[in-house]
Amino acid sequence: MNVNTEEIMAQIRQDIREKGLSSDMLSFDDIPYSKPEQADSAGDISGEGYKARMLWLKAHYYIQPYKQLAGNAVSVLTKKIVRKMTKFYVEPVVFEQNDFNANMVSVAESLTEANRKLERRIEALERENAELREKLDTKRRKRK
Amino acid sequence: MRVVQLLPTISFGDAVSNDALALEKVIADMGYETGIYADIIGKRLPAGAARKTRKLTGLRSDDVIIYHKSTGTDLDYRLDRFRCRKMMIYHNITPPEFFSPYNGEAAALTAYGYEGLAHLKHRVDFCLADSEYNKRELVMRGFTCPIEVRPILIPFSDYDKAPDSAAMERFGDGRTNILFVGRIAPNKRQEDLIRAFYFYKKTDPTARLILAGSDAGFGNYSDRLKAYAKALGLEDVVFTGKISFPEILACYRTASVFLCMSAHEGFCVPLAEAMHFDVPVIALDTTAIAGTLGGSGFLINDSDPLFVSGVIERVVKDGELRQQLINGQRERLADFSYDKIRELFEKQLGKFIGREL
Repeated sequence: MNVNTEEIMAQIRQDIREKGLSSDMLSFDDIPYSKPEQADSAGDISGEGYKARMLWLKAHYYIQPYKQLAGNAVSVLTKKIVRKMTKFYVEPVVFEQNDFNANMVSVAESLTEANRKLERRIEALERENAELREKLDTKRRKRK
Repeated sequence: MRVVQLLPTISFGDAVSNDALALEKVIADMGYETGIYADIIGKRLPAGAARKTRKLTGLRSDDVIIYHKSTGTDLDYRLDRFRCRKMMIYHNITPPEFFSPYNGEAAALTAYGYEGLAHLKHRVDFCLADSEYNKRELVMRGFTCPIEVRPILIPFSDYDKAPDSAAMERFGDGRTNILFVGRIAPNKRQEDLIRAFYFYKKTDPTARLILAGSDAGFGNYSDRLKAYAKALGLEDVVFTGKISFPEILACYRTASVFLCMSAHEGFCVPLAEAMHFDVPVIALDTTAIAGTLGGSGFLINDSDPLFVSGVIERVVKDGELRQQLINGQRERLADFSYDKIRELFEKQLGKFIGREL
């Protein structure tokens, strides 16, 4: 390909300079936008922070029984031997913990969903209550 | 011998899923027993295209898992359960700092993606990277296994389908269309496209900027972009939202120029798509962009909107330059042809299976 883009770019810059053009304009940073919540207040389960923590829990509930071994050859070998010797005890505990974690995450998700349903129901009931009060007030005013 | 692919989610139309589906055929043609396994399987995929991860059992030590890595997932850790040889295809992860001002959840997910990547660095035996940029990132993150580059497989035959007629009519009205295809996301820097368009409109008042892509997860960023365009008095910025594949085809077919100001890309499939449709590409030199263009297109090194608008003007109005760019892009596109990538992948997989790496 024989397109000399460097030369074209230099020409464009030269042209801008010669015409005395300026790229001053409204900055994108000056446009407001709705920011995600950085931290939720206690009990708030509808914010972005809560969602992020839930996501973290879902992604991290599974624990590895063993970490990567570090050190020199002798040290790694020793650690490997110790790991082999403790495997019968460590592995079942970790797997049990993983089952527990998985269930906890599942319960937390169910509770979140149940809470959302309740929130929606309360909102609907509050609206209904407000409407009924308004009707009642209107009737009272008419009687007077 | 089994050579299976594993990914967290497979869905219709996304680049990673398309890559996995195309590779499945290549692996099967090489004579290996194969299959795709995923935690989440999109409903629009044909029945049987993939199976649930939990059904992936009975792998032997000489079998191979090809793991597609592009996001945060606990699959990075569950991969340890499989006692077989592991190969990772790295499609890149968008750094969380791009997302955190707009979507904490998305930022947490990509941060988790990098944690997973760190976990995998001594646990995979071979890596394929979509681009040299992705390969450099793996090296920088401590991967010591052999790493080779293999561009993503793009199903170009799909692009010959008929475009959406209503969109063709809407955008094919002879006006200059500056196109960008990609989801509305902060790393794509759509605000820089709007800034350049603001100056370009002064020389071509009927021009149109088409931002084709879904804003799912980044509604607040999309709203901010719309408010920005409005504040600048720009009425011809089209936000298509999520559109059908024939509508995307219409966007490419009616585009005068493809402009990319993205700050982070692991490969950027839309660049290759624009090449396929003979749309001259102007792109800012960041991350994997230069590697994908491979010397074709018009690579710019400055995001100053006045300068970018000057480049657009040259490419739109200078017929000879346009043709030269298109010729260069056609040459580059040949490097992404199905046969070429297939041959490369067969060679790489063959070497891995034959333990030549």
